[in-house]
Amino acid sequence: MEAFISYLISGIQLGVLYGIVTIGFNLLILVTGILNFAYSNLLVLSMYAGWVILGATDSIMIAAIGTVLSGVLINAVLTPLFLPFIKKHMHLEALVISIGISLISVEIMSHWLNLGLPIAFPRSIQMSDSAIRFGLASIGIGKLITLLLGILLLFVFFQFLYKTKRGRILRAVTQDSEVAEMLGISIPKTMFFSFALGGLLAGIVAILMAVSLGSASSELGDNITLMCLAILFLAGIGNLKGGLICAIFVGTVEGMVMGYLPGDWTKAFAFSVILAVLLFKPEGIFGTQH
Amino acid sequence: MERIENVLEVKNISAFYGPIRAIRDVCLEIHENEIVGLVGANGAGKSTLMKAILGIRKCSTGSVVFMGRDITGTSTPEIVSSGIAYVPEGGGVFPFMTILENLQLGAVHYKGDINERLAETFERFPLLKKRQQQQAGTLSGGQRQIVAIGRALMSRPKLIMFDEPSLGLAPKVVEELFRLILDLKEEGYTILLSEQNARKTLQHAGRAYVFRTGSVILHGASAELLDNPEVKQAYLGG
Amino acid sequence: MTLFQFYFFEFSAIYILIGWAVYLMFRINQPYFGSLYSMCIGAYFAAYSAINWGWPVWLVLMGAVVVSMLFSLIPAFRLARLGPFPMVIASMAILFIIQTAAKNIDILGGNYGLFGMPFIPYHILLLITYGFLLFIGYLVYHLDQSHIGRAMDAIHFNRDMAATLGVNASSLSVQFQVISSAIGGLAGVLYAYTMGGVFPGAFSLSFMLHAITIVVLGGMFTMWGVIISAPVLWSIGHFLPENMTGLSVIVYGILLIVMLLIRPSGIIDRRLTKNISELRRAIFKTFSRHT
Repeated sequence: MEAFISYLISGIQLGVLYGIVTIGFNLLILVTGILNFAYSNLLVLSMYAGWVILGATDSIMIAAIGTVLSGVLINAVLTPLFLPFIKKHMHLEALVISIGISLISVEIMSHWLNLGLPIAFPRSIQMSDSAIRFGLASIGIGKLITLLLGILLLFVFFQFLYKTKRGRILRAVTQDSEVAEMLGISIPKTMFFSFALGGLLAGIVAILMAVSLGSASSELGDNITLMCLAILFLAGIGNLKGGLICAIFVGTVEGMVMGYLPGDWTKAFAFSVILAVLLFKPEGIFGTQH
Repeated sequence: MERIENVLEVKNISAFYGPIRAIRDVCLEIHENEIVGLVGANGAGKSTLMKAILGIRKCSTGSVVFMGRDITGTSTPEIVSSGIAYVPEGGGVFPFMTILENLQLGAVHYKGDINERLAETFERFPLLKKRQQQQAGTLSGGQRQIVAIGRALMSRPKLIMFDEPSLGLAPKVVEELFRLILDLKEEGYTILLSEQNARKTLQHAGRAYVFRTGSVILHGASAELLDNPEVKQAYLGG
Repeated sequence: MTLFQFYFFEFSAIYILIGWAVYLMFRINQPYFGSLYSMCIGAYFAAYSAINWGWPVWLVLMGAVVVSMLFSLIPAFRLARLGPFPMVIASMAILFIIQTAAKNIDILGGNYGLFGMPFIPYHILLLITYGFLLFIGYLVYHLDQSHIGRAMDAIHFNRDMAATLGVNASSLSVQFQVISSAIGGLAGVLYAYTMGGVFPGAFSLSFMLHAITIVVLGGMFTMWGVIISAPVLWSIGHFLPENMTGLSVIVYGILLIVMLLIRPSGIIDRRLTKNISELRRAIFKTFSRHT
């Protein structure tokens, strides 16, 4: 029973992180209409950036800020590559571009950074030495903290989206960009903003992942992409709240299953879920509502 | 006495929709505090003209002068913030947002106190106040038009452009809508009204422009146009 | 003939075949990469049947093509309705599932794959390959020129409008999925014989990037582009310094992005083929006048 609770908590923690990344994917789909396949690879790239900064400055604070900044910067810098296609509604070409970017970033991480070896963050930031023990099981403080921070981030994000002027503008563009433009909302600015906001989310998740996983490798990005795409299609593309529910569900299931099935099959399982949903319920469980 | 300065002056503009020239050499002027009607069939270029004025469609030639300032080629946000509001066809409300949020989006560029504007809008349309937390997608067609008009008024515009406001509405609702537009004129707003319902438009507008395949073929005082045999035959059903 | 030349001609042909298979589906706006997993299935079928059952080449070829066509029929009717986004993801999913299955099924040799297929002399293999290349090329050309080609265009530009013109996009999609899987299965057999076997690592996502790059770079609106881009891309991968093996993926990625940004319709687009055929006609005319 204790082990079950410990699995449950780490599963939910994983699910919350998936949820935030899925929101990042959805945000771009809703505002610009493109699926940025490279999104989670770029997230892992900012984990690498944080790791380099941590090694150079030895300051957790600076590294954390650097991670978030690099998340925003990487996404903002790549925006101009997508804009011409977004304007012409060439969504397929934009997807191909993002696949290209994702493979390039994976290649850079697996051959050039740290000699292609996985990077490991110091144990101190994981806080894994201090753990809450109950019965035979224990759960790391780092995991708990990232869980709470993740929930806080989600709360802040939804407050932003539903309670502020910028958030309102963002939602207006996702619902009807033509009318939004007639009201004097600048569409290119909003698109740029959504890229940067996605980058901000990615940067923060990069920190949370560094704390909860303690390491990163070039494969991590692909795994996150895979799970998040599964969630995306399961919930219905563009559905933020449905995506969140599915993310927590998938994260919990993965947390439970991970111990019993070899890694490869978990992935194949995720892909089977994607395939089954695409074939039999292309609009997802929750449909594409806002 | 008629004011000399025009609120809006459109000089010889042409605009393309893809490879097709949607409007050609259109000239139009709107004086202070009048209702100007645009009459013509679907696809005659009325909508394109409004989009060209808003800067959404780029004009290939000609110029648009608003309040004595040349706004040709300026960005849409700037044009909107200089005082032009638009009520899109069908209202164009954001269906998954509340009425309140829809209204707030009308004031994206408004510099003053938004709450004051909101209070004023709610006073004019008590229905919106009562239902402010309701999703706009659940409203009827006429109510959507009201939300869209309320939204347009939020920025305290100089000129309001209506695109086919009566489309798909019941006759009784259309009646109310035109009364509302007249009220707005009484309050000092300047209005550009695009309509397929030519008779109604000519009855309410002071002057009107008749569009056919992208050009203005006739213009003048509404009373004269109502008597014009050509207009009678083509747009008023004989 | 050196080994390098053999590989160059052989792989160019295989990638042109794959390029055409992908091109057909791109034309109807369904970026389906079934040809890639069919290639995986075809290669494994070839290796297994040639090694364990001792089948001759012609039987292996027929068997592999039939198996990959049958396999592609399983999801075909459902896939036919999908838009471009879900289509890419679905093909990726199937490719990945098949790759995982190949890795984990013991009789297929796990991560090491199956090797030790009977050797076919280079010139005979090349002869078989180019025979099929010409045949498939003729087939694709014929498809392009027929009324089906016009239906493809209609679907590409507007699927709903095509439906009002009486084009059945779904049934065309099913047919094309089967055709492109057959081509994929064929390419898989040729690949297996060239390599002497097959291993699952060959059919990863970067293989898919390679295929996309071939089609996008060459031009996705004509069948001629891949004839140039396939050999060029293969050569790029092999002229890079040994210690920079990872670089080829980066080069492909950059080529892909740059091409899409500066010339989205690829090296050879419709206008170019039209100009060339007009030029040819003009030259022919002056030539015949002089003689």
